Amino acid sequence: MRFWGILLLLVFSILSCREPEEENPIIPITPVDSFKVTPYNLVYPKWNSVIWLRLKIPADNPLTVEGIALGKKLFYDKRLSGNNSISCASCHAPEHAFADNKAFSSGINGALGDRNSMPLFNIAWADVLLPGNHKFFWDGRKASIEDQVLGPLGDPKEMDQNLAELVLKLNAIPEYPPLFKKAFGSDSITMRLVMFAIAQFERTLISSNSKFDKFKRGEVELNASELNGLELFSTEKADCFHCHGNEFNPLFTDFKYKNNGLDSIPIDKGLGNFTGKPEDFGLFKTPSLRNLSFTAPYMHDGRFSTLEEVIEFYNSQTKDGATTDEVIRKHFPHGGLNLTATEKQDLINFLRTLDDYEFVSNPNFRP
Amino acid sequence: MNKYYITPLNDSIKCSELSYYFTNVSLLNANNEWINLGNYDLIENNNPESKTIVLPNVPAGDYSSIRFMIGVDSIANSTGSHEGELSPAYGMYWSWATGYVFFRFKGRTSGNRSVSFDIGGNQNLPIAEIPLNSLKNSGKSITMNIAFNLAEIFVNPHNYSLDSNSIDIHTAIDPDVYKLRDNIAKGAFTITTVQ
Ligand code: HEC
Ligand code: HEC
Repeated sequence: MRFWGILLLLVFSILSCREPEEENPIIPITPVDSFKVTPYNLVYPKWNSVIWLRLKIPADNPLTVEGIALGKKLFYDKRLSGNNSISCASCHAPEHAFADNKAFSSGINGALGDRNSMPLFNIAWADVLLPGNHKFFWDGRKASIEDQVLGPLGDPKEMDQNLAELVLKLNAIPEYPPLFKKAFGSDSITMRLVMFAIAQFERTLISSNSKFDKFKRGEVELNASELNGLELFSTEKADCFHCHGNEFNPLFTDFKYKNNGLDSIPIDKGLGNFTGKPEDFGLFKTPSLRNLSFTAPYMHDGRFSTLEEVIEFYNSQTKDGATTDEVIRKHFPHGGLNLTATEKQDLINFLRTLDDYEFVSNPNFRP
Repeated sequence: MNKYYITPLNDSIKCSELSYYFTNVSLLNANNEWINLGNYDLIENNNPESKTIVLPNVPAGDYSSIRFMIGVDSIANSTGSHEGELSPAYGMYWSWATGYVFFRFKGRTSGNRSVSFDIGGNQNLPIAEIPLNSLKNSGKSITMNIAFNLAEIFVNPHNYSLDSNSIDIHTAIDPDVYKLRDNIAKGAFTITTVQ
């Protein structure tokens, strides 16, 4: 059979459903001149018979050893804030899986934000799995890891740093221009390069050495309670798998924006704040369930301080509202999940197998 | 946007999520052979990018019919390498027995009942076949516009009323699942234009 290299282009339209949203253009970023850097060899984690999806690394910001090292330095540098008092790591600390232990993090001068800090691990997969421009933050207001960096820097309740001043400030710190030169071939520091370096560091924050990962590599066994918790998690019984993945999805989330029934009328509109669409009100990015032991309190507003509270919430306290997910609602006629005390404990024991102690103590991720 | 619409059986329904696998596009050539282009694509209503599929390397020929699966063939369903759009990370994979979710629909009736279908299981795979008015592959790329009409999953060949049928299908052995399979295969997909 002769192949002509012909394309068959199939274009779909779906009648009678939600209309697709309009796409905002992504800010074009021009590539830098070529020069010599050391490419970073990203090693994908392994699970037996499950392939971790390949990442989409932007062509104009490839991972380099120099870029990642610079990004790490910036991430931990308090001089990135308006009054030099806090760094990214103040709210994204390695021992908390790059989150913090407060419901609302305090920014410069102790100003309190209105959302719970998000842990930073495996975040680059959101780029692969989520469509369009809503990929980062609880409400999906940022489209890329690069772009996301601007959020906390400029936020008056977070780092309150005037960006033009930041560029002047970094250019004037003698150690920085040579590091930018090594990483990007230019010693003239720009905001774009600051974003690029920090994004590179964030892409390397991969969590893949929990007890469960080792179980999936055949290195350790799970006990009966943990196995039962896994079973509850990944069947209609506790029904977590519809949103938080399963034993074939190493990310333990699909990242999609959902309303898990926290409030019947959402106080914080989440994705809806940003899109303005009623059907998006109260939708928040589904978080990964890795590393929960390090990231309490839980939910976008930190309302639950223990996993016991979270499980009881899903078991009996989910609320009906205009956007509550149907997977939550389908349990209402039976009065919730009806888990026994042992089942709740098994579920928690399973969730604890997703804690990655090697990740939170990895010296490569520390200053 | 977020509107209710009336199904052919007068149920009033609004859709919040619609995703399905669209795979194994095959064309029937003049020798009566099916040429399988071997694609595995996930179409998500909320993801405009997913609604354009490019299939390279269509062999030269004169084709009279197109066939595709809404879901995943039994081989990929059991031994799939789970790469690309077949990755379980997209949330379309059940960890237990049945493998992939072929077709997912979530919505609500105007009476605020939850409707939620996750169709899977090899025996429930919808396969659609649509005759083409002779598609000549003469060296230029072909654009085919395909419409999926949700209303059609509730009729033809089986009437599916939300009052008397299952509204929450999350097992491969639900007594009503074959009706949805047949309705999806017949008439839900139409080819609107071919250029
Ligand atoms: C004052 C505390 C604070 C500081 C400082 C801070 N963040 Fe955050 N970060 C947060 C909070 C709170 C959120 C969730 C905010 C939201 O959704 O509105 C967040 C979310 C994020 C996310 C989104 C993660 C995801 O999965 O979507 C990234 C990435 C991130 N921060 C990176 C950074 C970087 C890089 C810096 C330094 C330039 C930084 N943060 C500084 C508190 C902080
Ligand atoms: C309908 C989708 C859905 C289902 C089903 C679901 N979750 Fe969630 N989960 C979410 C979303 C969305 C959030 C974030 C909600 C927010 O903060 O507004 C979340 C948050 C969480 C958190 C807090 C994590 C953090 O970092 O703050 C935990 C823990 C959790 N879920 C566990 C579970 C467990 C255990 C189950 C099963 C009993 C479950 N979830 C079922 C969507 C879901």
